[in-house]
Amino acid sequence: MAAMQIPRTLAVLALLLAAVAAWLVVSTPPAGVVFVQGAQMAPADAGASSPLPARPPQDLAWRPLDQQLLAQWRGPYWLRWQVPAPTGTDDHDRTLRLSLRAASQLYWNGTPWISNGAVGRTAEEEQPGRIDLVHVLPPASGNATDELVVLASSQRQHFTLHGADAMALIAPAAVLYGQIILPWLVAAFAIGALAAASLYFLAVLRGQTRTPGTRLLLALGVVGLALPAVEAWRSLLGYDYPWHGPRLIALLALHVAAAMLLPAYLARRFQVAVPRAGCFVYLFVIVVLAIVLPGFDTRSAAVLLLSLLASALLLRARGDTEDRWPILALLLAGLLALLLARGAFLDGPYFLLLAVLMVFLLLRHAVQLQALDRHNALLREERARLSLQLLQRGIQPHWLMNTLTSLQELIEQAPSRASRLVESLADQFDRLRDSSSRQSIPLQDELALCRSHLDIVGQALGQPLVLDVDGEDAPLLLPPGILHAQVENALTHAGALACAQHPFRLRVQRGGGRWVLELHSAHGSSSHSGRGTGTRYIEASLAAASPGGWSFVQGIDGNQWCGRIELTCAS
Amino acid sequence: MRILIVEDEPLVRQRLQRLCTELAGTRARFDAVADLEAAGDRLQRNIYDGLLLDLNLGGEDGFELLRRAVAGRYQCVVVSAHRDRALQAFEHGVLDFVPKPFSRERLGQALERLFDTGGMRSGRARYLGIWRAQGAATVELSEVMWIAADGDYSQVRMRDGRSELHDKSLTALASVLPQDFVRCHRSHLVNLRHVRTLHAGSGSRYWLVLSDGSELVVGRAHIVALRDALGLG
Repeated sequence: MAAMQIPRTLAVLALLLAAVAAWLVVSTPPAGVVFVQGAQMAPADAGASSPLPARPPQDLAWRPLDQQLLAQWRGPYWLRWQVPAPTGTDDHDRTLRLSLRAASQLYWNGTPWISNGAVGRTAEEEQPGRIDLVHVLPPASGNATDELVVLASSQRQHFTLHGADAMALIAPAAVLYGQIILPWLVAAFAIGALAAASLYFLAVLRGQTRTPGTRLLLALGVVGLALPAVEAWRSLLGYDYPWHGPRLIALLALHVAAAMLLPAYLARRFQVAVPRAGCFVYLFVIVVLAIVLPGFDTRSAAVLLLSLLASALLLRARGDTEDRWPILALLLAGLLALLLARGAFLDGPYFLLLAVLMVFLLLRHAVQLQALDRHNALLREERARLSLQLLQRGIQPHWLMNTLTSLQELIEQAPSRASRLVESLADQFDRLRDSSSRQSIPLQDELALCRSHLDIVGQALGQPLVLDVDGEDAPLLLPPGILHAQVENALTHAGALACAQHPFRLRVQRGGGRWVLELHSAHGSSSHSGRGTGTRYIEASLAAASPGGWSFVQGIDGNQWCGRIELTCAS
Repeated sequence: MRILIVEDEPLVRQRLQRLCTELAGTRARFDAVADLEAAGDRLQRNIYDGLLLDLNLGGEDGFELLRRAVAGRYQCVVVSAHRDRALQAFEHGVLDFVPKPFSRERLGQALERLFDTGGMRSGRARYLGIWRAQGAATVELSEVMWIAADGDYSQVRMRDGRSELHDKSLTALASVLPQDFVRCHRSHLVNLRHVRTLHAGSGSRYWLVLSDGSELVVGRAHIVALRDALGLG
């Protein structure tokens, strides 16, 4: 078991490293990408009655761009970037990407250029712009810098975010579009693998969601699939800026959900008992961190950090569980990455980690379910075999044919006794049929089966056979036929006459969390090894009904034969 | 004729004894016991010609008892619930196998076979029970060269040269042996599988040469039947 953990651990780590490395390679800004620095901002002097300015005024009170302050402005307001002149012959291909949570009107070197939505002094007047604007730049002026001025309003920003994240980036069009798409190709592979693993898991599950942790794992799979979808929404599709807040809330909610589900699943999967108070404290801390900390990135990072720590601690509590090391290795890798590169980790590698972890968990859980399925199939097969054995024992030729021959004689000798024997036989077969269809039966039903059998033997013998029971009312469930088999054994080995002279005595006791059933019967002179089909039936039935919690011993006790069954109390 | 019934079930024992007595009339006398221990006592104290034996042939124990029973001088009819074991019982040399539950007619057939052992042969035996100092043993009939009458017993000659003694008379034995065993002399049964040649000498004297080179005299009264059996007719 431990030997299998090393290659698995190395495999999952290698997979994670490969995915993250691919992500980092394609998402690193290539040469030619210019983040325009030195941005400035200024409030627009636009009263409620005066029209919006058509050109940037000359007398604005410019100040350096303060992202936190800008996040509080609703506008209208002015932003200004000094765009460095093109360095080579790529003037015609320069493309601007402006990220701004506002409706905006852009001016290039003082000339109106393009508008993104409609700037307004009120929410009603404003038409929201796209959050990311990508456009090929007009020709450069030929000076050292060109001036990009933006008149913007964020009237529909319904709640204040920690920072404005206003940013202007200039790059050749091919580079800009490639940079947006390539990282999501890596993410698409991860999502595809996760979706395939989830489908495989669902196929193995076949609607049986009662196994421990299954629902939690499925919920975690949904979070793992939703997270990159919400993350990629901005880059691949874009949206009007008022959606940015809800998107960030959705991302935080998904991070919180993952933070709750991951440790909960691991606790269920590895059967780690966590005190209820501990669960509440953990949930409380998660919620507090998600509300109190400044900025969505900080909140998500803190929540995920706590979740990875809690998960690692849970796994630490179990020493020798299969799959512990691969999961622990992934969690520790995530912890390390989160501590070293907080924001960058959250933007992509986190859901890659989640995807690798989820694929591993889903596949291993599916393997577990399949093993459980095989085990259950074996159990069903064993129960069917035992049921058949019970029926076969009930019609074993030596007993049945002798009884029928006795019946033949009674029909001629004493028809009324023959009639009674037929009734007893019918009763016995009815009980056998009923018992064989059940996995366990009440003690009283088993005793009735034994007495019915003894009644038939007694009628053929012409003497009653008695079964005395001490503890007949015990609320005990037994696999069917285990006392019946002992009675049959005694009749076979000791003979009916000896059994008529020495009544069967059963004592049922409960103590030390176990039921003890001691059956004393006649010993007789015939050889009795205690290893015949009856004994094998009893042992197999007990093993199928309560694996690990039973014992059956039998042997000579004085001048009697004694069979002793011990069962773990289940009723 | 005296026949012993061994049956542990009281009602079945009563049935056997009642029906046998009715069917046999004055031809036989029947005693009944409940177990083999009591049967052993009876068999030591009295001479019986036949045994109606109930055996639980569900396990090996039953066949061990059967091997001992068929090694005796009396013919053995098994009355058993294990219908599926009939063939094996015949292979062990029982005269008949009556499956339980049985009708009056079926029991009557078995009794007739007991009364007329010379007139029919079950012919399905593969083993022969013999008595040795250590107790009952079984030999394979395919290993038997010939069987000779030895007073009330039979001397069994094996391929490896050993001789064994069997409790049954040659006549009683002939009724359970397979068709391979043919009478070549009033005191000899020969196993045709081990006959190499049939020689004719002067003065209508015939003898068989067996596979081990030994010779066996053929009685004049049996030469025609023997030639037929050998396919020389």
